[in-house]
Amino acid sequence: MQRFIARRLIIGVVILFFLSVTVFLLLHIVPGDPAKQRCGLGCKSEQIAAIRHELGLDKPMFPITFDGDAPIIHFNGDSQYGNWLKGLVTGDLGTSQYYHEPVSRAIKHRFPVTFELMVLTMIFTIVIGIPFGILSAIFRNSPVDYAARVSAILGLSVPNFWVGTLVLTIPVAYWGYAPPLGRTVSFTHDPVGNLQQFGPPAMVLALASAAGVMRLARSSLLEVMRQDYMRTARAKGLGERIVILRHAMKNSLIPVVTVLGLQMAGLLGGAIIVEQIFVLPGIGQYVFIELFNKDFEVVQTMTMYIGAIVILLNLAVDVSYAWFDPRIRYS
Amino acid sequence: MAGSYWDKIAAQRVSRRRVLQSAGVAGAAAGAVWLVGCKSSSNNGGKTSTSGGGTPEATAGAGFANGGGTPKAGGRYNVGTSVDFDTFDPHISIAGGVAYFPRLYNAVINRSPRDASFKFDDLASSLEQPDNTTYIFHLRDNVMVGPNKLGIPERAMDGNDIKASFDRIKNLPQSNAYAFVGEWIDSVDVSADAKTVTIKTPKPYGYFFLRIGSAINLIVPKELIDQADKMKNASAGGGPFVLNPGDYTEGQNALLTKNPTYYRKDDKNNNAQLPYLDEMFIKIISDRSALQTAFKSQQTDQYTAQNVDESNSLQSGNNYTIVRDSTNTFIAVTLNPTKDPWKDDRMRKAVGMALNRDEYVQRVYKGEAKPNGIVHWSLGDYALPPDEVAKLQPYDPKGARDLIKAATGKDTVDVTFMWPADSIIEEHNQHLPIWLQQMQDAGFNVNKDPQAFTTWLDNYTNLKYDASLALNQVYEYAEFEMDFEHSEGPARNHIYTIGVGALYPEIDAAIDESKGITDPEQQAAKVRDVQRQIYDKGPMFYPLVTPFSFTLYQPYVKNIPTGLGASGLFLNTTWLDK
Repeated sequence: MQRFIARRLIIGVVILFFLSVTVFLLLHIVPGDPAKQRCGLGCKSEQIAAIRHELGLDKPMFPITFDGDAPIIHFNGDSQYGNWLKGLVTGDLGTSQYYHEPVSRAIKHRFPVTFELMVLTMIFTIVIGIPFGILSAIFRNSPVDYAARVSAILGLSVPNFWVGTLVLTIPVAYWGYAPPLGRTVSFTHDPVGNLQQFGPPAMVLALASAAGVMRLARSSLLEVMRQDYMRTARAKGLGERIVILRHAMKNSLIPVVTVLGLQMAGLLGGAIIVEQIFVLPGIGQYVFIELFNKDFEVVQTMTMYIGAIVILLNLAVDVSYAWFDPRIRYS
Repeated sequence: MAGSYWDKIAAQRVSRRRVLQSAGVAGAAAGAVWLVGCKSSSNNGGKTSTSGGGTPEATAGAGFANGGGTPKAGGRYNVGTSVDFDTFDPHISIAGGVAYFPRLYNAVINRSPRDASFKFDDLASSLEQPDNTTYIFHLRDNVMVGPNKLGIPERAMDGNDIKASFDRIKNLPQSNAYAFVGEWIDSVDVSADAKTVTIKTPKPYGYFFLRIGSAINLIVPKELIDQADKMKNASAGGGPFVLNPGDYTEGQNALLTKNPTYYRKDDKNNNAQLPYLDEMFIKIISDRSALQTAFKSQQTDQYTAQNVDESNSLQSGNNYTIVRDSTNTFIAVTLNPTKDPWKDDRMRKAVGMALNRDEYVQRVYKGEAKPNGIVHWSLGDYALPPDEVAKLQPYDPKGARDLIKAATGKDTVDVTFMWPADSIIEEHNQHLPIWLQQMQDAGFNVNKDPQAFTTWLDNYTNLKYDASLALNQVYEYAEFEMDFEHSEGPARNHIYTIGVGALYPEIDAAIDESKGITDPEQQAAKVRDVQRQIYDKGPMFYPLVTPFSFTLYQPYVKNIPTGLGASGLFLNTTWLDK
């Protein structure tokens, strides 16, 4: 198991390296000069030059460049990619050119918001998705099953930005109620206020994720229930409840756990639209603002953060398989 | 009051300057005050007081919405903004803070481009102008740096602060007013007692008074300039409010607290201490539906509607105060004089004749807009009269076809036109289909070139186009619009557009001449005259229409300044009747 984890981490580092090159290149290929965009209409050329220098855009892009003149290969000690990567490795995540604050400070302040939203969303997803998936499988082709499946289709098809907008605007239109907007209430300080603020967006996010989990749980459980050992369990005289809960569920949850892990990774990267609608200052909002302002360094750093989260969570999911299915061994 | 109108513009964030210019349009603009409901407005006339503690009154054309009653001190004013603050440094901020800096810092003086009679003398109590390039400001001695937590001494602001601020701007290329100070401030000299400041310009500059007191030229205590890092998240100055460390939460809100030693009093109310408000709580709400929700649930005290329909819909069953103001924005079409067929005057005039501006007024803005000439209508005397504009740029598609025929020998002509296909600027998407149809009707076969926004912006910035939809510009002064017709483009830096001056040097000369006229009436007359000259040659830059904005206020918000544009930010007589 330890070797498996170590091997996966090494592969993860390699993946992150390729991700870093890709995201760096993609951001710099996109048309538009961040310096001109910041400077605006009345800009003089020396202002643009000063801003480019401030943003580090006047440095070579990569540590290695190729030239027609000898020597053909040039090594640049001070390059945009090199400096950024060095910072990442040494823990210096850079400074936001928009907020003029260290990125690490922004993550520190914003991560709790995103984390809480993720936790609540996963709770709703699991509490709604898995039981309804089980019920739908058990009562296959019954009205319960049809109702659950139609709800799941609706949950998957309706865009969450639309639902989120309705969740916000309908209560205020009819009852004059809205959750606190423009200030985040901490759970320890005011649990009710905090849940008023985080509950609705978590429900909105959980709508689609629970629908996906429900459908997957249903199909996975149906497949497991067809297995020979399930017939054996029933033949032994075990009650249906025991058969499902003790024998079927664990095996059927493996694909569900995979999906939950991916959903968690996605949520920890920030639910941009829902954060915007419900005014939650999380990671998603931060990335969106920085991307819009062409703050390359921050977007690169946050992309690496999201990549690292996905890699680590996928590893955690894979390791958890061993608990769900004792036959699985990593050796 | 700063508010959602500015946020709507600033949220586009494609141009720093545009953000700056739009930042000041905060709940106050030219035009009539339109009140819905039973509230009355009081329209204070009269001259501006320049005495030490007096409150300058809003003059003719401007006023106060929902006035009346005896002001009450106290309360927290909640306002929603869709753009987060980047920094509270007033000299370099390019985002949300710009609309609030007049609340924190002082200007030397402020003049409104919308109301020529409005004068807000802030640090300076009086002014002498011995010649066209010399401005002598006599300063007040009671503008105190307010209590603050940045360690800045609570002393009287003086000439050294003014000099330090302008020196900083001049030497900091990242500062927003760098171009203005670098080009138009020759020297800033302070008298020995620091109570008099003499500013010289290198040559006469007619827009000096409008620009010297703008929100990007505010005066910061010199001690704070030496510790400029502290201005990122806090303030210390002589303004009506202060931002204390810890009162700004990134991505969430900022709390401005009343400066108890602010020098202004309300001489209409027994010299009551201003501001009346104890606090301004600025909530960062970037989603429009969330902004509206916050307003409807009384979590914010004002909201700028997208259009008149939304305003009316919100008002239904409620008793909000609605302020109808002009804006300083418009969609425009830009032609590139270095590309065919736009070198031909007839072709450019044909474009002008193809445009039916009334159609934009009705279809896009439901009648709540007016057609523009080269200088948009809300800039008062700088704009040509509407009748004359209608004569100089008539809607005449047949005339356009005749011009095309005369220029090319053909009935139609192929032109390439680019625009941002995925623009988040709603007005782009609303204007475009109308424009394409009008061009088609007038004989232009438009080769459509929609581009991704960043690609379009890059091409537009670098003049890589034949014709294009222009950026959704915001102009506080006629100077910028006139510069769009100059051969060097806006701010003389050869980006975005090159004007008809590239083909006719006399247009360049006329535009330059208009800048140097320091008498406002004469300057406005010259600007109108230059516009006529440009129409005679065929403009390169066609502003379409400028809409009205509709800002709704909770019924308890009283004494809302109107009709002054960004200058309204300097007034602090708004109070809460609750």
